[in-house]
Amino acid sequence: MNAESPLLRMDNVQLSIHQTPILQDISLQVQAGQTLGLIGESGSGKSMTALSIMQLLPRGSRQTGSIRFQGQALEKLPEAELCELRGSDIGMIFQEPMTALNPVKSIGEQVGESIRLHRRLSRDEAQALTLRTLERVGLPNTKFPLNRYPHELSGGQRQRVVIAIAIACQPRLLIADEPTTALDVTTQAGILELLKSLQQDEGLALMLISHDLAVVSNMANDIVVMHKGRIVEQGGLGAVFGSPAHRYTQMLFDASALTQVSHGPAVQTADADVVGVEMAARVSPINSDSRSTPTPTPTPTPTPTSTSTSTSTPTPTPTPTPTSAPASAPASAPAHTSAVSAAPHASTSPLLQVENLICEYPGRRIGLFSHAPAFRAVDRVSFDIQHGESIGLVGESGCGKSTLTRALLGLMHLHDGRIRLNGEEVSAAHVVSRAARQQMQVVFQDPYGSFNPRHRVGRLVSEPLHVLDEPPERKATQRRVASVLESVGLHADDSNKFIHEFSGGQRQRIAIARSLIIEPSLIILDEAVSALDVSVRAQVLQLLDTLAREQGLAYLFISHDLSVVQRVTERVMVMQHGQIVEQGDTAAVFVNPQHPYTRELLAATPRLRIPSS
Amino acid sequence: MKLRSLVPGALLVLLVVIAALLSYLWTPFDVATLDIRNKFASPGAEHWLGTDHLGRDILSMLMVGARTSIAVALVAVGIGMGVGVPLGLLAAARAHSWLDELIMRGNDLVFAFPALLIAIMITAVFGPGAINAIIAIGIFNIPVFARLTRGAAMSLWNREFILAARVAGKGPLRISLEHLLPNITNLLVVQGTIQFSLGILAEAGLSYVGLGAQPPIPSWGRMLAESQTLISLAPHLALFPGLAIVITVLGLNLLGDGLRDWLDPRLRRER
Amino acid sequence: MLHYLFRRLGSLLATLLVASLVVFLVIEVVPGDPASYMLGMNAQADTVAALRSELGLDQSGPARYLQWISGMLQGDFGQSYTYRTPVADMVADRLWISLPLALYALFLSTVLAFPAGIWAASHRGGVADTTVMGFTQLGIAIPNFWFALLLVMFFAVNLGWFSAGGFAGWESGLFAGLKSLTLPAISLALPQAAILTRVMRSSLLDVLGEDFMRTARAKGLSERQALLRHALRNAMIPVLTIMGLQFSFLIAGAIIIENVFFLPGLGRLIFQSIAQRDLIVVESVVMLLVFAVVMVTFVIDLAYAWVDPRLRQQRR
Repeated sequence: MNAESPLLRMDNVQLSIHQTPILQDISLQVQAGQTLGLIGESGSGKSMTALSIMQLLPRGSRQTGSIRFQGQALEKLPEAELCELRGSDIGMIFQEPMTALNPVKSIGEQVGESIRLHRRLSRDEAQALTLRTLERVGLPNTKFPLNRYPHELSGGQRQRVVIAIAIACQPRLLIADEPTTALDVTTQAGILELLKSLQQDEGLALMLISHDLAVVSNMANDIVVMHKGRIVEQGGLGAVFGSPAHRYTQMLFDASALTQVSHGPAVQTADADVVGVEMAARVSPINSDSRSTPTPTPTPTPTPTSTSTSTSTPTPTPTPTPTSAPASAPASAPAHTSAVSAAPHASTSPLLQVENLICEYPGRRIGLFSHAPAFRAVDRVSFDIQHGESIGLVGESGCGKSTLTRALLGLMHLHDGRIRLNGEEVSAAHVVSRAARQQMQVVFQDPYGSFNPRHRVGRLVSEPLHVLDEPPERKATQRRVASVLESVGLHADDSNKFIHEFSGGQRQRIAIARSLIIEPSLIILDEAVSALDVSVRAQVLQLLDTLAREQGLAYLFISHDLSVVQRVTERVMVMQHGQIVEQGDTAAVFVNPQHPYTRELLAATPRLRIPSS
Repeated sequence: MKLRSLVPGALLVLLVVIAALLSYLWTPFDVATLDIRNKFASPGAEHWLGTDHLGRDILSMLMVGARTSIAVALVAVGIGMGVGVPLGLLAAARAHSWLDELIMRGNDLVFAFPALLIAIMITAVFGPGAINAIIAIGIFNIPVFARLTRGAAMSLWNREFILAARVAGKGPLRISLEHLLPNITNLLVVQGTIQFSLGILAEAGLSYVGLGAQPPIPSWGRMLAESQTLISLAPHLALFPGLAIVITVLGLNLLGDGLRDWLDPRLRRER
Repeated sequence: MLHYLFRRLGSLLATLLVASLVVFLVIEVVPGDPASYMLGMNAQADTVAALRSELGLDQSGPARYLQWISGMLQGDFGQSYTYRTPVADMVADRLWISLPLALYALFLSTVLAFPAGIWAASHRGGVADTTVMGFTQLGIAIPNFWFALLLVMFFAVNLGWFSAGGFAGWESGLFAGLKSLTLPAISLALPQAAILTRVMRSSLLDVLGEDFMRTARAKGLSERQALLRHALRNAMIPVLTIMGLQFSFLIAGAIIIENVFFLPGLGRLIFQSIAQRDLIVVESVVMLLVFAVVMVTFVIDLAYAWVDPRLRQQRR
């Protein structure tokens, strides 16, 4: 093997599992010390490619073609030699840090095991190396002693332990399969930083598998794009991202760009290659679309208008037009951000008023009669939502946004404060107002868990009719179901099918149909597009956009994903530790964040970087 | 593959059920008639499975005995489900409340009494009999179903489709009936089959020690008890009732496994 | 850890207290008066009354309950109505047969089930797996007392290796004692071993599908190493639960099996007492068995904490 030959080389690899073809004709190379980004949507075969390199394929797999690592044909190696290779020359990390570690073994045992397996070291030497390895991944012994168990660590810390296991023996190749997908954005930034520094300092080759183009664009030298088990395009980062040749890449690229966070001035000045700002400028929030409807002329500066009293006409909320790209640049961005109140409103009363809301979970019982102090999940939250307005709520996991959602929906006891919908108190003295329920609906994140698998779509979609004072007759119900199904782009006769006959994107459409059937004024979208692939996500967002324009709905868009919120909302609230730390016009908040946490969030969000190839 | 245990299981169970039902209309010989001259007849053309120490036809007794076994086990499962499932749903709907705590502690309490101890206590009070066996096994089944139902219902309560139903203003009772029950039916059917087979075993054990159905009602367990003293004289007396129990229990277990495999993949696909 | 322990201990005591109340109440409603039963049909009214007061039957229910449990706490289980001897002595004699029998059976079933379950799980889908699973199906379906009869028929009647019943007594040596418990223990253990094997296998298979098993393989462990080092301990949690439940089945099973082998254990005692209306003995033996079941549950809870570090912290 000469110095020029690649570290890893796959040639014409085919894989089938129980006769179902999974991978077709995969040929790729990883150069020593370089980072290869492997991109594709779910089901594209990315993970199976990784597992075939590890030779850890599921039962019933048949693989042909050749996989050469340092010139050795992996598929011909006996299992014992593969075991020596795994964890020693090739390390791998996985998507789910919460479950990737053995819950009954301490982190020291788990990292140390990897070392003792591949290195002949004395107990003390192995322990010293374990300590050093954990230190390398940012878990110093002073704060994270070896006898810690996985459940005592956060998701990001666990992922660091998984990385420590993978790199303990200084492998030549590290395969990272969606290493940050399950993590919050600020945590993700830390992990990516770590991977980058490991790769640079130790000269290991990194195979980074991700659905997120922005992540990959900041890490990779070379790109491989996969679609339905095939490689559709590969080459240098600049070549592939600069001028995508394949239709699929182009589509993926457009869809990603569409949901791309634009940033404040720092981005633009620091790196001219970043196109985030321009990309985002092409996008306009829901309810303020100026492309298809003849609305009043958009002003180039964002104004805090966000009310529409009429429900049928599109709301003329001005936003940057496609031609006014620098609109979100600092110069033109007015500081509408304020930590206190929403946009000024004179005449109309708001649709939803939340005042000083507090929600607590009782503490765990620690004695027969004593409880641990209550956990305050939502802490003195106040905000309004205007009729027809689209407002975002962003925050990382555990910030209280789910609790807030439940409280708004009347699914949770309020410790203090009040929620009014059209002046009607949502839940007073434990009783949830029926009138309030008739005006709001919800779309959840999980396109699989949101429906009773035993009911037909017709019954699922018509369920909210239960809340009406006089639910319609059967015929009328059927008509309404048909009409809402059609309004979300499905067929009326889909109502006789079961939910498992639909794809994820279709299911979210059905969830939206369900929320529309009682013609509510407010729809809460709880991470409604987070589980969808980027291309499907764009379509669903488009649908929401159209529906809002046609029906004058107000949306509360809850998400951990800043790009989605920026794409579709007029105003945004940032939540941390149960409190809303900042709220204001979306454009203003994103361009000129006031609160340090908002700045941190924005800084951590990866941006799509396109090298000027 | 799926049908590997479902079909044989169903066939075995069907065989036993048909034998039991047939015994109401016809048995090869009358089980109440003693024929001392023909005692200890070996299995042959006339008495297929031979006769016992009183000259009664073993096959006929097994057929009638099947009735007892099935009836006792079935009613006991019915009691377990009828009481346990509502309790489990209630506990799940009021999770972590005092009511939930009460129901679960009650379960623990019943679990502390093995079925046989319950039977012994009931017998000590009311005397032996089939009804008391049913009650004892039934009581034992209650916490099994209550726990299963609560566990399954609790995990469903956090699912988003239940939240959606709550947003539609549906109450706990309606949600339990409309959404929870249909989604745990599979589990209940599978567990029901298992408890059914355990019930057959328990009934046999109880009547073996004389706490089950009393003479003259034939029962498999008592046939075994009677055979014990004659074991060196006529081994076939001990063989056939035991085989009858094994066939029934095996059939039910295979059926349970088969049902689970058959019902489960669809659930997985839907997830 | 301490908090977990105290909580379990608290619920254990509460269960025992309520159980004793239930046992007492059930026996209390028994029709018929033990005193007149003991003295026969022709007894004089005043003799019966004298016996009633001697046995403490003339006192109020609550008073008798308190007397009963405070007595039990001091090891005084009262006097047998039939034999006029302390119940505690009768029970103690019998316990020396029943307890070793249950432990012997538990040992046998564990020794059989663990390797069989692990073997089946690591060869899942193969011939070994199918064979083991076939045997377990059969093992579960066989009633233990019938299996006991078959063992007697074969090893005692035909081969004459073991006696068909009775207990040699510990005084004739450990070996002789264990030998007379061997057939009973095997017949008790077999169905339990079958169940335990299945639980072990399916629990292992569940764990083998977990993400951390992939991590273990990715660090270079062989399939076998990963199974033994990472899967086994995690798979133990459901296995422990079943072992706890099994103890209660073993106790119940022992009552029946003792009757098959004419072993003078607690099971025989309880049936004799029922026949003789010696209810105080029934009461005490039932309570003792409940105590044993509850204690085993407690030990299992401790074992959970040993297996699972998450329980050692003050979670749950």
